[in-house]
Amino acid sequence: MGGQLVDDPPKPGEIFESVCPYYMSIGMTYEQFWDGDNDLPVYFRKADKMRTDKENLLMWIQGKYFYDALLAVAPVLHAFNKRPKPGDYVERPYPLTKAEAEALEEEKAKAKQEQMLAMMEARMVAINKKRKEARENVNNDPGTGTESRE
Amino acid sequence: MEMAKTIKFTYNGRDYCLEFTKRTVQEMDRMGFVAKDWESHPGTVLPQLWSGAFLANNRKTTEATKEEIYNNIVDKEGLIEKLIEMYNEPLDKLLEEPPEGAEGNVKWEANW
Repeated sequence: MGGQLVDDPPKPGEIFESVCPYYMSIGMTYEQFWDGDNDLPVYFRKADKMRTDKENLLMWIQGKYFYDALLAVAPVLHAFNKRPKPGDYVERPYPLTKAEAEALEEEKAKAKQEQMLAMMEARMVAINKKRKEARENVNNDPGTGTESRE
Repeated sequence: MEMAKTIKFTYNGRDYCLEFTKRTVQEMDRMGFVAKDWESHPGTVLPQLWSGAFLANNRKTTEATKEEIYNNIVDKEGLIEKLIEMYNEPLDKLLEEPPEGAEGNVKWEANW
């Protein structure tokens, strides 16, 4: 016989039974699945997607911390390095939101500005000190005093 | 959030809310309801569909009352169309993509 057996498509109830455990695994109760609003599965799937994305992000961040930690200790692990000095671990957690990133950038810029200011102040102090010394030397040296100019 | 599709009416002072849930659709499966027979046996399928719509919220309604209501209902064609749509909803929602973004959101602004 050249005939071909074709299975009947599953009945809706059979489909519900087969997917019920999946929906229970993403947080739906048995009652919510069978008796709840027909829109619930849509939102549970969306919530599950968001949860998965968040977990993925957290794992990615963990990998990044691990990677940075490895980079920090890499000099110590170098066999031919005679004076190994490990680098610093990241100072603070990575910013996760735009606001946090902006605040961190602002803080970095402010710290850099303060550092520059401190350097300039130190340089000014050094220059003033040199000038003062030079002036004192001139006053103490009779050969270069004002009287000798006359 | 959009709510499940329902058909509401009052008959003889009593409120009715017709709805299909996954449980009642499965129950109808078990009672022998086969939606795809709609075209070949509408005379059998339609009363079953009508009767099944009472299971979710008005389970105790007798078959005689259901029939009486059906006989008194206006726009039967429209009703049948809605019943079919409602029956498909539990399965459709398992396949539907969740709504995205701001579409449908209400925008507002303050004047200060």
